[in-house]
Amino acid sequence: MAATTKQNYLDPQVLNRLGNMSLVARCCVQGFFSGLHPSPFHGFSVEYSDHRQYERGDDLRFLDWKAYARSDKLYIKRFLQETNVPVHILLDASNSMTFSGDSDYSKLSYGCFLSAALAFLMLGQGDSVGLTIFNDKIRTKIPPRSRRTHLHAILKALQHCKGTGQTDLGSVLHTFAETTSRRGIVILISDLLDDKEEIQRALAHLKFLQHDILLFHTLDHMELALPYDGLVQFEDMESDNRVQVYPKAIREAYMEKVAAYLESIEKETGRSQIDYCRLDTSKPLDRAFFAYLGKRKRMRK
Amino acid sequence: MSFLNILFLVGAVGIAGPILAHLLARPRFKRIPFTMMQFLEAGEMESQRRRRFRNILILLLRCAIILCIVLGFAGPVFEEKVAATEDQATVIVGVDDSLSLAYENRFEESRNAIEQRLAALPADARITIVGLASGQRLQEADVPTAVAFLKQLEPVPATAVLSNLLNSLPPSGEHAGNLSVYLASDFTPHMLGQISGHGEPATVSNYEALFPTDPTPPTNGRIISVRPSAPTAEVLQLAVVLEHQGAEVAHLEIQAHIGDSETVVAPVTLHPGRRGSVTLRLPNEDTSGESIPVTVSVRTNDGLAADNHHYLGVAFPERSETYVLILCTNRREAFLVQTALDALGNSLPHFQFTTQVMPYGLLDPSSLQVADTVIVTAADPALERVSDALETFVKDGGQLITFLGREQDESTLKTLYTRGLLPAHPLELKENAITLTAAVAPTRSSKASGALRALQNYDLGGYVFDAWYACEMAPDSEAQWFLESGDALLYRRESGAGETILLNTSADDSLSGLSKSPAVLPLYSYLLGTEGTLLVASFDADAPIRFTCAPSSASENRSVIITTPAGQRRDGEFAQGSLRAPPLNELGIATSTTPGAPVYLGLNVPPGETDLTPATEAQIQGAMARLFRKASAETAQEGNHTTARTHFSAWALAAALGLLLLETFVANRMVR
Repeated sequence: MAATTKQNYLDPQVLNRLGNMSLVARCCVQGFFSGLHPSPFHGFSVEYSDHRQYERGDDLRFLDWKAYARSDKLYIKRFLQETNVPVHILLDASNSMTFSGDSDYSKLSYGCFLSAALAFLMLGQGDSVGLTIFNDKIRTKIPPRSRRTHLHAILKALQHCKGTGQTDLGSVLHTFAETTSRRGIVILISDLLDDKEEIQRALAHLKFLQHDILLFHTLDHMELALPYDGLVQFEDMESDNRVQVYPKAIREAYMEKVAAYLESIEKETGRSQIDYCRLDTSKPLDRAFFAYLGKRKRMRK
Repeated sequence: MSFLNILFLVGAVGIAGPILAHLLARPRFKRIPFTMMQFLEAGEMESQRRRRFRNILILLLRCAIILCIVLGFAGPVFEEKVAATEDQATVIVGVDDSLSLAYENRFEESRNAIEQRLAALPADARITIVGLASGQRLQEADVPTAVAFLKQLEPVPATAVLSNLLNSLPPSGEHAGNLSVYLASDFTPHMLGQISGHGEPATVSNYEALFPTDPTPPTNGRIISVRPSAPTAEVLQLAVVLEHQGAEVAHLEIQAHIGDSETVVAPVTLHPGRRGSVTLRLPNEDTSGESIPVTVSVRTNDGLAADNHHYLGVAFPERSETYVLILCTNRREAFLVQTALDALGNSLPHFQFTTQVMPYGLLDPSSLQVADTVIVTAADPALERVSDALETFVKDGGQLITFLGREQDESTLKTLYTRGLLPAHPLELKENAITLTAAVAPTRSSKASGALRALQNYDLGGYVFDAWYACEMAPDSEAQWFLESGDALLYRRESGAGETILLNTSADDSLSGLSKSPAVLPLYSYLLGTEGTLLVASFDADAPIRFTCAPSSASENRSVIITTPAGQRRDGEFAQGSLRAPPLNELGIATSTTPGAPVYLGLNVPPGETDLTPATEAQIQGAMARLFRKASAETAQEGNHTTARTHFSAWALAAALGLLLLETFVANRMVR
């Protein structure tokens, strides 16, 4: 029963009612893990590798005292190198991300929940996490840190995140690539409403710098299904473009085009070894967690 | 293509309505912020086109609906040449058998003309004959049957109805063969009026109007009233009032005769819509007292012979010779009474008065045996001597009239009153002036008849008397004309078969005073019981003459309005051959009318058959052109072709309804 209650915290509608981003992150992660079996992801940063003969100058902290007691010889315990990689969360905060359809929260809110939860999870696992909020340019950039207290800075930035301006995803990614030297994991949360070619080039740029990219494509179900009736004037949230249509008349064609577009993105990202995860904002966040943890596990191998 | 009512095409401007609405109306839409606009672009173009197409489609449908409605009312007619499928001749004959054709031999002429046309037809011709007034119909018969049917047609007292013929025509475009139409009529204004109201002419192969070649202008005079005037024993003089309802000046002849005697003719000229009168003097040989039939007729040309005659029953009263004995004390009064009786005898030719003036000194009972009436100018004691004889005289049917002068023997008056020879007892002489209060007082007398009513025409109220008597009226007496004191001027009492009358004035007063008034003769006529001179009533031909209730008829039951000579209206009823009505009790001719149609008994004529300006040939041909249209010459040259005309009014209206439903569907289904 407790697990079920905690799993409710993966529901974006529940998270939206919590308000406090710290609480959101904590509830979300605990809710996620409470629903799993004993985790296969524990302790990957302090794993034992083998022993070697002690040599002068070795750090005594790694001396295996128990082996010395048994064999009266000094051995040094060797561990795998620490896998503390920097994780960059890039959150699209353009106007288009404020689209909320018929729900109480927007795609941007959904992205904030996801970002907070991932940051909480990653910092808990010892990874360093940074946050970049952008629209047509980078508005907020918090460099990766692994301290637990770093979470506060990230959550504060997410708490005050507002969607404004147009999207220039290609330019932002290029800028990010040029200003980030150390390779890491790039988690991009965006609706990708920009020039597709430009986005692909920017992602290729990141990939060229050996970043591992995890792309969360956030979409509202109203954008996917266009379930409107009557004569509707659609007004672009990032421009003055207006279109009057009878949605019923164009729905089928619209959905076909959207599906083709999403399929093309999925193919391109697959071809570029970019993990692509399409998120419906009406669905719980666990799918995103699985995607991240799967990605993280593959990196350790 | 042509139109039956081309003015309705003006309604086509109504299509401006939906066009303006289309131009001015703006669609209502919801505003929704959206993101994935690039995927709407292509679809949007498609939707816009679809919406534009829908709007234009709705606009066109609405315009088409209006046009269809306009066409439906305008009555489009399409003409096309149709090959004739058969050569069989079809003839439709309309026969005007209204009463106007009954004049002279017009109906015979019409019938002969039709028979000539029918005789020229091929043997296999199919003939339809329609009686326009009677409604009789023969449907698609051969020639012999048609001729036989035609012979049994007769004019009927009804109005010709053109639709009887038009309804027999086949619908336009359905008849492809040889169709001929004949219309035989006198083309009265009523018939021409019906034709002028006709709409689209019917297309036939041939049509012809058959009408009297030299129509005599019909006239329609009718007798309004006939009143005997100034009758004598030898001559019956009739004043005849006529009315002319025709359109032209009419020269009529009024004819009258008594029974089988010689007919008296008098000409009269009447102007349209005016009344005129003429006086006829009929020699009268039969004055036996029984009623005699008098027929007055006017010769008109309207075919309505039943309206031309006016029948009278005239009854002359029996000749009577009255012996009047005048008893007097002075010669002057006797002279005045004798003069009045002479004047009365001259005005009533059927009454002859023989008067004898006798002083009281010469009176003896034997002189009363030959008298019918005894007039006493003053109560003299000599009367007491003959009181027994006077009592017998009155009871045997004699009439005793007593005047009261200033010098009366009161003892004699009391004796006469006691013996029932006076209807009232004069008590005291009053010598102050007094006036009559009213002209007439109610009376219970059976003799209150024509003479009394004649007196009512004179205003006797206010007449002043110098002397009078306060009287005590006998219980079985009646009083007439009261004085201001409450005493009467005249008392009457019936006694046995006779009567006694007391006049509360002297003969000198009554005659020298009243004689200045024309009322004196009616007064003496009343005193002497001379009724009217002549009894007259109207009645129908071949009906018994009954004076108790004016005209009678052998026709069916019918309500009748009787107008008395005095202008009063009474309701009556014809039933079982006689007129039942309240007693008229009036002299003169009562006229009777019957409300509603038909009006065989009245003096009216059927509406529409009144007169009658003869139509010219040009008028008749123009009228026929409104009714019928021949197939064009071009069509005729092409041989077995004729023109089929199809009316599309119903189709247009049906299309409008269908388009209306389609518009509703498009407007509701294509929006979403």
